[in-house]
Amino acid sequence: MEQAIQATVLCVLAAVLALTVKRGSPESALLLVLGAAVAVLLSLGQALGEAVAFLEELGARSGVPEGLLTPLYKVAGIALVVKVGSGLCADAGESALASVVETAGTVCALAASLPLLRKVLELLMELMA
Amino acid sequence: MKKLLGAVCVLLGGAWAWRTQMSAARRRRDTLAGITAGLGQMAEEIRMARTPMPALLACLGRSRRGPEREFFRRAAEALRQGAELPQAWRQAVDTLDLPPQALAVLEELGQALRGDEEKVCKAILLAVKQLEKQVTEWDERRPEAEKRTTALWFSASALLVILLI
Amino acid sequence: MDVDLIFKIAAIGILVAVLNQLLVRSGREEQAMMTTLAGLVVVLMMMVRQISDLFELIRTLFRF
Repeated sequence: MEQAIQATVLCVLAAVLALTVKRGSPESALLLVLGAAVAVLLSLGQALGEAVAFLEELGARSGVPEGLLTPLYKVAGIALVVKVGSGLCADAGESALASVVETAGTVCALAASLPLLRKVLELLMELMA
Repeated sequence: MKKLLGAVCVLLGGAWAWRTQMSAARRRRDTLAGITAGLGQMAEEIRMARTPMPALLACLGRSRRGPEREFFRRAAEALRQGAELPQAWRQAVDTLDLPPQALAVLEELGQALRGDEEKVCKAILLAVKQLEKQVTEWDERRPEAEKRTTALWFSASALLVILLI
Repeated sequence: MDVDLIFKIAAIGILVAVLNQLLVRSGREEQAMMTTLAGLVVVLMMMVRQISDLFELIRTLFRF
């Protein structure tokens, strides 16, 4: 609970400071925002780790093979990074770069989930054969 | 505790450097203004009393109060030791710490200090006009320059404190 | 949470912003840009470790 409060307070503080600093130097404002984002995400590491460990246990208990769940985690990680990255680019006024980052995220997520899709294709082939 | 002491030391160092730079700039401006006034006095003396150069320079070296006194005294000293007037002038000008345009005006004046009183007076008055213009320009630019010096030293020491704390 | 670093970055950012405004107002635009660039480089150097830590964390957490 306190971690959520800490994260909120830090981010709001950083946003206010960035607004103040933006008039004098927009680059510093963006760097400040980046720094706050990185710090908050780093501090969430432990909580995220616990959540992922639980998901793993769930997967192991329910008998789903390991190889099928890893693409899911990878896609989640890609989504997180890409969201923050494209948000930062949009903040800097570069919406073209933001959409490029999002496209990269989509392509990489697709590439990461190829094993899963391949398995589904095999299953379909087996069913139809 | 040590960090606080260190921060205070860095800030004090920055303040000292700032104070030094400001007083050096002020001293330069005062020297320039003083030399201009002294040259004006020189032109007056030459026109009214036709005082010869060595006596005039020695008199100015005694009567002026302020940083330009050294300049006139050195020129008078060099003349007394037997150097030619342009040489003595050049020697005295070389010891001055002024911006290059002021030094250029003074060196040009040193070349023109030969010949009859009319020409010398004209040359001196021309130099006085140019130097007065430089002093007014300096005074106009001074608040900006002071603000910039303050900002520079303050932010340099603040940056050091932030990085090292 | 690494608040110290954030405050340092914020302080440097404010310093750079103030200097920038001052220099632009007195007409020295190239020096303003140089100050901004210097501030940028300093802040990035301070943050490089954190950013690489973050990417390492994401790599291990999401099984890359």
